Amino acid sequence: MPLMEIKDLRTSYFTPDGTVRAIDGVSLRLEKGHALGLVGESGCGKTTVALSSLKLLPSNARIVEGEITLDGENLVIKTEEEMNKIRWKRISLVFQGAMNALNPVFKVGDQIVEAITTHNRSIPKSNAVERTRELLALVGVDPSRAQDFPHEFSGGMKQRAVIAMALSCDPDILIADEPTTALDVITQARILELIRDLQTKLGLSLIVITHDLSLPAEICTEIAIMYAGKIVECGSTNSIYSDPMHPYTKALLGAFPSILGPIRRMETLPGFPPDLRSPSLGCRLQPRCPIAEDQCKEKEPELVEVKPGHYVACYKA
Amino acid sequence: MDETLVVQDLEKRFPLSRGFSSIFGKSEWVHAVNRVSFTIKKDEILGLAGESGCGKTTTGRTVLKLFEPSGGKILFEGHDVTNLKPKAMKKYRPHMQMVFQDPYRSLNPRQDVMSILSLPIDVHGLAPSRSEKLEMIMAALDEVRLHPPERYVYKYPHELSGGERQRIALARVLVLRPRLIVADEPVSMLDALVRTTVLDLLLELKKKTGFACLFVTHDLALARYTCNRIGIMYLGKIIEMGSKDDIINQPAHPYTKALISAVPVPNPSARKVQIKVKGDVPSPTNIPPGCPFHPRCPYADARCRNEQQQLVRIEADHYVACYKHDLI
Repeated sequence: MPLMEIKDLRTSYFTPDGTVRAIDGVSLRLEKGHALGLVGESGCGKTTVALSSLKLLPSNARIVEGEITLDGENLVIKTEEEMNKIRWKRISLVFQGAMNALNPVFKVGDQIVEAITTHNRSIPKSNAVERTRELLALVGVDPSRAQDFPHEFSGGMKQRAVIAMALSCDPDILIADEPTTALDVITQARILELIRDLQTKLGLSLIVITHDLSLPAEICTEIAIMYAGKIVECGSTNSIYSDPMHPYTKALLGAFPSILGPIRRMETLPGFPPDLRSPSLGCRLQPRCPIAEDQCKEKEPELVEVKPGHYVACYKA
Repeated sequence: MDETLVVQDLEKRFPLSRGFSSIFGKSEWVHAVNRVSFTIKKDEILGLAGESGCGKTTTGRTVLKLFEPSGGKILFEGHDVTNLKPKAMKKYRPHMQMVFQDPYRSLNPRQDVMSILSLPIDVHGLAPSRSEKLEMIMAALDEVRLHPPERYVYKYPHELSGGERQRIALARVLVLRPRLIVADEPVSMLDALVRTTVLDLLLELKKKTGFACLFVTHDLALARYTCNRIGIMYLGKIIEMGSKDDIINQPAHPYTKALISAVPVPNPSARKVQIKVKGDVPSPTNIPPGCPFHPRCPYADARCRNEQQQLVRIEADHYVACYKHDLI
C-alpha cells in the first residue's frame, strides 16, 4: 500500500466569474521513502494539489470529488479536528515563498517553538526550546541564531529555518512548494543537498512542487507533469528524462538552456494554457500542440501505461 | 565607432548611515561596485552573472546613470557621460535604455498600452504628429509579436500575461531604437516556456535593429544561451571575464567553477562534480582584505588572504583574478 495516494481528485475555485476547475481528475501515489516531483507552469494546479492534501484550501475552493488517502485512511471526509492531528504531524508543508513566511516581528527561534507547542500542548517550553536548537542544527543553522530576527537571516537561512519548522513534529511526508525559487544558484544547490540529506536521515517521503524541470532531476525518484489541472505524464525520473513522450514534457525539457552539451535552439509552444473555467472538449494541449490530430480535438486522451510504470496521456505517444 | 560602451574602474558606494553618526563618527559605506571595467561592442551581448548582492544590478543601473557613479568613467560611443547632469544626459537617454526584471511592477497599472508606449515618444519628441505616433506604436507592437497590434493598444497591464507584459516593456524600449540596452534579469519572473520566447525575441530584435546589450542574470545556463561574453561578479568586482565558451567550458576562477557546478542539470544521469563553497557571501560593508572570495575558497592560502590579485589575461580574451588559477 502506498503511503499516500490521491485518486481522481477534483478541486474547484468558485469565483464570481465562474467555476475554475483547477484540478480536474488527478491521481498520484507516493511510496514510503520516495520523492515525487510535481512539475508544471504557473496556474496548472500544482499548488492546489498540495493545499488539497492538507485541506488548507481558501474559503472559495472545495474538493468536489476524489479521495486522498494516507495509510489507507481517506482525508477528504475527515473533520477539521481530525485534520489537525494530521497536519504537521503526518504531512507538513513548506510554503512557496518561504522567505516571507516568517513573521518579521518575532525571533526565528520563538516562531519554531510556537509551531512545536501549538501542535503538542503537553510539551514543556524548555523542551520545545531544546528541540528548536536541535532542529536548527539539523538544517545547518547555528542554534545560537535562534535569537535573531528574520531580517538578520540570509535568504538561504530563512529557507532552512522554514524547513526546520516544517520538521518540528516529525512528519512522515514533507511537501515542499517551490523550495528554491528566488534563491540563487549556489544557495539553491545547498538547499537541495539539505533536502536530500534530511530525506535519508529521517526517512522522509517528499513531494516537491516546482516549475523548474531541472530540480526534480536532482532529488526526485518519480515525476508527474501537470498541465491545465491534469497529469499528462508520470513515471520514474530516469524514464521521464531519458524518454519523454508527451509533447508538453518535451517542450518543457526543450525550453531549458543547459549548461552542458552543445548550445541548441530552445523550442517552445505557441499560445497559452486554456481558461480552466471552460476547457475545451479534447486534449487540453491540443490548440498549442505541434502534432495534434483531429481525434485530439474530440476526445480527451486518458493516462495510459506505455512502459512499465510510465504513464502518458497522449494519442500520439 | 565599434565600442558602444566603455566602462573604466566604475565605482558605486552607498552611505550606510545618515544623520549624526555620519557627521561625527566615521561613515560606513556599502561598496556595491568596486572598480569594474568592461566594454561592449555593437551587436554584442555581455552577460553579468553572480549571486544576489554581488552588485550586478547596481552596475547595470549605474552604467545608465540611474545611480550617480562614485568613481571611474563611463563612455557611451566615445562620449564621456560620467559626470553629465540630468539635463545634458537627456540627449543620450533615448540611446541608452533599460528593461527591468519584473514586468508586474515596471508597467503602470493605470495606463493602457497606448499610454505606456506614448510616453517615451512624447518625452523625446520623436513623433511630429499624432498619426505618426500611432504608427510607431503599432510598429513596435508588431515587432514584439503582439499580433494583431489593434487588439493590444487599449489593454491594461492586468489584462496581459507575464510574457505579454515583458513584450510591452521591450516595445517601450525599442520604439526609441536604442543603441544600448541594459536588461536586468528580464526573464527570471517568467515561466519556462514563455522565457524562451522572450529571449528569442530579444536575440532576433538585436539582429534586426542592432544594439549592444548588458544582460544581467544569475542563471549561467541562460547567459550561455544569450550572451557572447560573460563577466562573473563577486562582491562588487569582476573576478573573471571571457567568451561564453571560455567561461562555461574552461572556467579558471574557483568561484566560477562553483557557480557552474551549482547549476541544476535536467538530466539525472549527468551528475556533475560539485564544488563546495563554504558559508555565505560576506557583507559588502566589510569586504575581506585580499581576495574577496578567500574566506569561502577551498584553495585559499596566506597570499590570497593578504594581497588582491587584479584581472590578468590568461588567453586571448579571457581574464581572471586569481593567483592560483593555473594550479587548480
